[in-house]
Amino acid sequence: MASRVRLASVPGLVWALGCSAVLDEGARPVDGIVRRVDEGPDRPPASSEPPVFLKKARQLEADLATALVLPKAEVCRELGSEDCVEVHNIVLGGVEPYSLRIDIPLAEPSATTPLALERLVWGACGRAVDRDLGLGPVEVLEMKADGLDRPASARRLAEALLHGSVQDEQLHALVEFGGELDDEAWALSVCVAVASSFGAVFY
Amino acid sequence: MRWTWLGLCVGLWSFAAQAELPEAWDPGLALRRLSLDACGRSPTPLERQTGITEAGLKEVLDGCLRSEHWIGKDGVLWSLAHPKIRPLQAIKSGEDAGSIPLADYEDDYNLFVYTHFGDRDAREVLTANYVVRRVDEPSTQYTAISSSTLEELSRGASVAQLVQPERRAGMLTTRWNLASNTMFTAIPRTTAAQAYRAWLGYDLSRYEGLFPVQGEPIDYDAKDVKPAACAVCHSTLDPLTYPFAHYNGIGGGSPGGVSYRYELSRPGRFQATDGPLVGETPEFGYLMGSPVADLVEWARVAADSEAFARASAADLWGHFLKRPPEGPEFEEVWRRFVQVHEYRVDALVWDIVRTEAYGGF
Repeated sequence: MASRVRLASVPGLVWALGCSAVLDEGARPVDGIVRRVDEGPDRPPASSEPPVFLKKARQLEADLATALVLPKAEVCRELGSEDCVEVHNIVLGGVEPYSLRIDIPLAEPSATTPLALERLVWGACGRAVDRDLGLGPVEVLEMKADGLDRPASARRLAEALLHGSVQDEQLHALVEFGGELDDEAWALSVCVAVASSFGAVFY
Repeated sequence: MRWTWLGLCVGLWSFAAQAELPEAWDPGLALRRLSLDACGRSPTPLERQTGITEAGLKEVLDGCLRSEHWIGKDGVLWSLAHPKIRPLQAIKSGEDAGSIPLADYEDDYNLFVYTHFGDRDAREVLTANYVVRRVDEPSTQYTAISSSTLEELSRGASVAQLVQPERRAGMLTTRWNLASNTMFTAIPRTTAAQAYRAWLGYDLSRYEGLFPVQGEPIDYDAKDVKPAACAVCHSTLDPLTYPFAHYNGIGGGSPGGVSYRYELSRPGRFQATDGPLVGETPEFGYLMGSPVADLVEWARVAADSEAFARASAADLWGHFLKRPPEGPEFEEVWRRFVQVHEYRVDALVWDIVRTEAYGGF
């Protein structure tokens, strides 16, 4: 199914979502750097570089499982059989002390961390969309008589994956995206875009 | 009426026991972070409603600190112990035994986790004379057992903790520690150096924690450690090690002794390989400049030290902040861990969550 999706549009959608998903109302991205705006003399000075952490493999898996209503064991299987988290554990911040003697997580993400993260997200989104648009129960998408209810589905996906309220401009970007795509390709693209956005993978 | 006053006193004490909340501290941000760091997932919709107050946040944290993600096998606490235990599956005994089963490091993880949650004193990780059993299903449970050597042998010869109960010193005398660090050496400097690094935060290979002892090193085992370039470290390391020399590792010496067991005369069995003086290796030694009579006292002095408190707090700080500890907030956190919380890790975690470094914006 994934091969039918027009991937070229997804990066633009990710850009549209931007960093704002993790920021509260007092924060705005400026020049690509997250900063809080001045809240006035009554507030203490804010850090210009608040620490932001990349979720580790098990954290990503848990959040994807909850948001997309999937059993953890089914979030992502490489080659249909291997647990993605086990396969990509080290580059996604995990450890393997017993055989590999890696006691502490990598200090920095590796060159393949984004690829592993995408594998995890594609796997989870693919399974959720297949289920909702296939024979399984509809858990995260919203349907109407003539097919997918894109505005409602975009809201549910974004709220579930970003753990809270979503700004109107973000929803607008999601709904307007991919008008030429069929429902399956659109739902998968939106799910991957949101699930791999700043607000979903950092905290 | 009496209970009313008692309740008031308890309430006032609880208030006083709380560190002052930083002004630039966002409970919403702290909730998001602690949910992922302690529970392994983002907050639930219900937690997002209740966790925006300080009391609600504390409730969420308390739940996380009892979750499988925190106390279970391969959970957060378990993972903090990896660099201290340094497991190696190839020589593991017990469940999932490796090809050369010598000792089961799961006993070590069990003791570490047990002493690091609930109303327990974290210093017992070094001073415990009990062993800890773990049950994984239906949820992880730990139980401390004051078992004798005979009772330990009933668990199986390949996993039994064989050090006599009165000679046990928590993680320092576990079968795994003696097998993987002491191994076959008469004066097991590796064992002492690893304990120094793991529990007190001093890495001698980086010239940390040097407390030279006058007249040392004596070089009981003829390893040529007296030259000045060697003595820089060995004047600290060797007297640090002597108390460990009386606990058997895997084997070594002639005649051989009982593996993984305390034996006062142990060094004398190594004279054929380590020279005639090795039999005079004393049981007493020095830790951070303080004389210690034996390894049990070594463990007590270590556990009560500022270095242990700092290192323990630094482990948790590193987990939540993802960077080495620094600044006045960390100083307050580790001091309160000792002075206010009496080494209770759950309370230490709450203090870290309440720092501006963690929940500030």
